[in-house]
Amino acid sequence: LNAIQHSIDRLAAPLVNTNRIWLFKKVAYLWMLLNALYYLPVAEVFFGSEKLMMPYAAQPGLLNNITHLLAMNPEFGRLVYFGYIGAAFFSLIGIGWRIPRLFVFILGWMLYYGSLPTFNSALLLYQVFAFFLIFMGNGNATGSNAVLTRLSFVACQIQFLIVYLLAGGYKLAGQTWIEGSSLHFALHLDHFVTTAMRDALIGFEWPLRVLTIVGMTYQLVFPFLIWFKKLKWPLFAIGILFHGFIMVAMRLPDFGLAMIFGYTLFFTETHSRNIRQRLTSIF
Amino acid sequence: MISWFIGYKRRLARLTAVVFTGFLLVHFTLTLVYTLPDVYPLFVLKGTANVYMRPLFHQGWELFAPNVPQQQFALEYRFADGSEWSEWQSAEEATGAIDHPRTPYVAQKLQIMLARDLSRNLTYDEQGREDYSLVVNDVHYYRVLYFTVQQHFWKYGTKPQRIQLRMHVQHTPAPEYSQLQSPPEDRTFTFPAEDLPDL
Repeated sequence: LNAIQHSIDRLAAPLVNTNRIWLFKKVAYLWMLLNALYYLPVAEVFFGSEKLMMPYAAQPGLLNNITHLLAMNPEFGRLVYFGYIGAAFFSLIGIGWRIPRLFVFILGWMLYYGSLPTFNSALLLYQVFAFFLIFMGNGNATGSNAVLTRLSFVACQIQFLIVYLLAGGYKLAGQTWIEGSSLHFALHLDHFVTTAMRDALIGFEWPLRVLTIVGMTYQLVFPFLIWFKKLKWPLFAIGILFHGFIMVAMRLPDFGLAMIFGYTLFFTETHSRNIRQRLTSIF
Repeated sequence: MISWFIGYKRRLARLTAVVFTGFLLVHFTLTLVYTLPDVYPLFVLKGTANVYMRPLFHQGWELFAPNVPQQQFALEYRFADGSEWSEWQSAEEATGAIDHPRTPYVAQKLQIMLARDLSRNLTYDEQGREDYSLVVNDVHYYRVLYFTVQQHFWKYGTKPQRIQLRMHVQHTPAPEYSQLQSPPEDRTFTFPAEDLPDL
């Protein structure tokens, strides 16, 4: 009982890793803002009243009706889309306490359900982050605020690791990842890969096979190895190359950037402080 | 008074720690149940997980898994505003107002759902002809149809009176070293023509 009480009191102690939390909050809301702005030239086509996606009715229930507002009422498209951008911006610069953060979470779901299947899993990951970010206080948080901040940060770390672990685990159940042919097949998906990119890469059979197996293995081992300080930067470097390749070759900038930004969850406090100092001196 | 308040704050912090930790345990247990395959004993909680995860925590991590798709789809349509049908044209070209890398991605996702529906609900009559009556009454077909009409609208500024869809399924040849079974032949599904008075 004493050990449990001690652990609980440690959770309520004043925050120490404040720079890590600050940095993660900034990059998370920056990603949400960039992801929304990615659709700005075609906002009307994806979210407006004449959008490409068919309106549909929500399942019964208050939460379903709120989150599916845009799915059922395309005329709210501009309000929801620009509201999300505004809320993400205010959350990024830290204005408005937790209210803009709450709006990011709610409006994010409205956009997701309102334009199915426009968004990929990157938004789903950041929606979970958006939920826990509502509870995250500032560096000077104490008492219950410190508890919520600390636990919310850990929850985001767990969620990030679940992504890698499950994405890697599901791949083990198939054939193309084990034999190394996944990138071969992926390069033939016209909606992801341009003809020029496919022609440039498809001849490199062995590098593609190796990359396929490295990609799957990386996802499986990341959740276990990331806790070793010496392995953090090699893992980040491999991850940036892996996701960078997906961003460029498969034209999925949102997902690649989402995962790379997510690495800040595992930065050390020293690195986060250095980055924070550099960023604050620039802005 | 001050000491009571300090004590009160500490008690509140402890209570918050216990409650929020409990919440996280439940949350991540249900997240795993929701995202993992239906394996015993997890499926016992599947119903609860579905209710909890939708709509606020919906997620799925079968990213290009278990296999990368070995086929892709090409959607074409033709339209008529009188009796004359137009030529068949692509319904996925991201040009003009819909010029965005995500447009063909959306088209593919919609077609994947339609293809699943075809594999379940496409039937054949006694002469071996395709019968689309179950497929064209399903939501996946309507979504593809709606997408095509809207795509036409953004391209030409009007909505056609009649429209017909066809979908090509193209299989990617496996590399020589692959152990995968050779893919079936490429196919084209031509759906019945539709009148569109109210779309």
